Amino acid sequence: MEGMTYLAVGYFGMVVGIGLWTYTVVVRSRRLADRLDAMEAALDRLDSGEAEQA
Amino acid sequence: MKVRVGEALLLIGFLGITSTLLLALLWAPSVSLDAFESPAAQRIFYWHVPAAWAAFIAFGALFLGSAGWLFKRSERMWRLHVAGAEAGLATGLITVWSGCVWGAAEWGTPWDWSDVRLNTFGLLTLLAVYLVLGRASQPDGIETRDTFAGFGLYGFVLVPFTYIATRIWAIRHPGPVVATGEEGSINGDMGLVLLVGAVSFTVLIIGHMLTSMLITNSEQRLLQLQRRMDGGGP
Amino acid sequence: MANTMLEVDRITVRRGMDIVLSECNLALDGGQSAVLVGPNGSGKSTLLEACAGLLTLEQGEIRHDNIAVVRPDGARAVSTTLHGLTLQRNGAMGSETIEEHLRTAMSSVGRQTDLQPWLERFKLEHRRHDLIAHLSEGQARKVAVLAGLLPAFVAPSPGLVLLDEPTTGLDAAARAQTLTWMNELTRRGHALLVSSHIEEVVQTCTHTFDMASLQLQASTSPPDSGEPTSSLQPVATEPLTTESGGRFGRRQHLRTQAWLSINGVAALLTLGVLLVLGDIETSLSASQTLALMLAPAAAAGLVGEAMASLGREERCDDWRLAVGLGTAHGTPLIAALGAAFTLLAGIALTGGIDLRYIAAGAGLSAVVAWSMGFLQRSVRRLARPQAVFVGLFTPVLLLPYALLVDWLA
Repeated sequence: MEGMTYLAVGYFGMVVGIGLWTYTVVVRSRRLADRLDAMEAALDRLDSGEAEQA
Repeated sequence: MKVRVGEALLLIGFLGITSTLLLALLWAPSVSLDAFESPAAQRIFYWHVPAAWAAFIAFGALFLGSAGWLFKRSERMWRLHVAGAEAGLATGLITVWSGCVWGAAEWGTPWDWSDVRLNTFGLLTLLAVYLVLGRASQPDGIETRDTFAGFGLYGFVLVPFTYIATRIWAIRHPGPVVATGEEGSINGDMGLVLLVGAVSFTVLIIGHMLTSMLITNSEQRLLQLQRRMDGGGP
Repeated sequence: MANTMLEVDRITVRRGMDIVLSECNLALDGGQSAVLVGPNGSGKSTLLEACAGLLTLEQGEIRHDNIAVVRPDGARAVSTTLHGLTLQRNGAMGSETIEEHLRTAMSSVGRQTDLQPWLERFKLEHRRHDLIAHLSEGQARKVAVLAGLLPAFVAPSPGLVLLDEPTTGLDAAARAQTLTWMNELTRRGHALLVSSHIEEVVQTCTHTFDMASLQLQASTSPPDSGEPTSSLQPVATEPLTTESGGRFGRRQHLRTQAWLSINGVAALLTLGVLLVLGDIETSLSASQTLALMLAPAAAAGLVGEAMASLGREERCDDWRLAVGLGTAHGTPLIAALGAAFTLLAGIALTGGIDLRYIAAGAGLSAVVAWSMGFLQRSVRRLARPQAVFVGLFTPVLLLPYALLVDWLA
């Protein structure tokens, strides 16, 4: 590989790499937020159930 | 859907670095053919240098976070340590990868064991890999945090060493191109592309660290809720 | 008045995400024995290990005979007052014999005695020369208890003895014998801090320390003091040189042959690869030939220090650290391997012998193996030390190899 082709392949690897990385960071953040919401809702239900029993 | 500041900065930064790539390939002027063995590959420095700059920001955050955890036991500083390690891993890998691509074209070898700057930068990136993978393998706790924060401090000692290495031991590696105090090391258009790259990478890395700190915060909150559900926590 | 052997001064200790001890105070004089009482998870072992200097303090200080041995800033001093330690794990490597381990324990106070009567009382005399790995769990526990008590019996002056669940896993006779020895040590002026759930142990100690209230109280039913203190026979002792970590590590390396089976095999495989390349020397530059010649020595060091992983067995490294014995390593043996394989590679590649290169090979293996050992041990506090990837740093250790080749060539 010579010149610009070589460079384009090198750059392409990096762009794909950083793109995937950025995507996984955002996905991780969103999934965690969803889990937190679900857990908080479950705990609220648990707390309100206990309050009713009391 | 709620868009957070960190995620917005990540997106802007990513668009910025992609634009830098296009500018570097299609618009930035080439340097004189005598200056480099491979003038086309030299264009990689529009990513290599800003990525290295961003990596230093990330490793700086890693150092601050490590020191803040070890000496102040600050939860916020631990989150900064984690964010610094993750961001350092991403930008460190880009710097090393782009350096290897450039080195292969310029020197005929992707890696030079006798170049101390290259090797210390490689070490910082390995340190980031170690911290990210290591943390994932351990339960959160004081022992885990102290151990990895200790490694974080140790790693940052290499940063000034790396800086000095550029001036003392540079064998093949080009000397610093910015902030040398000498005029005319890079021309105006080249400087502009480099500036766009540096700003983009800085925005990307800040966005990355903000998102990463949010993730660690969420993980800790989740752990607290799980303990509450187990009946063991407040 | 007896010396204050142990002072725990407002210490706070965290383990995992929890604060296990908060602002805990405790002072123990010579001639006192305190048993830590509380349910599982109340922090008994944490307090005992903190007193042994094995844990990091968030605040406060621990002093042995008025000398600070652990401080929250991480500063530590070797305790000359700690005369015996039995952890919940046995603290011994499986490849040690009973006799070796007990002599190692006694070497921490620089004196030794005839082991026979002590082993007879624990019915271990016939296993004296057996490897600890070959013992039953109960027998191995007896050795750990003896390793905690014997140094105090032979020490020239009273000191501090720390015992974590010493009677757990022992048969009735051994349990009674242990209590007798604990009682005798207290009467000889030693301070004992013991963690236990067993009522007999509580009755043997002069004090109890309640983990819930963090208060020390004199025992309501003081132990039977037996014969008067003046009638206690001194234990006949003779000097014993403290065994260094290097000597201990060398002995274990030679017994397990870890230096050959781990470091030697790595070097051998690398040499094998060089031989597969055939007659390449004529096409190589001087520095390339030298790089190949030193490659087996670098490989011997890069696979790491076996003592670092063996030291995790039964918390042997922690026990040695607490009683003031050095870190086990086999660096000279690995250096010898580096020298031998550089010699062989030199003969295979150039047909000649160059002493400079052989010395360089020895030094390279030693430095790289030592660095690997340091990295392996740096994760000892982690919950899962085997799950972290210290191997990630091995590429960095190629740097001294490259610089050495550059310099020599």
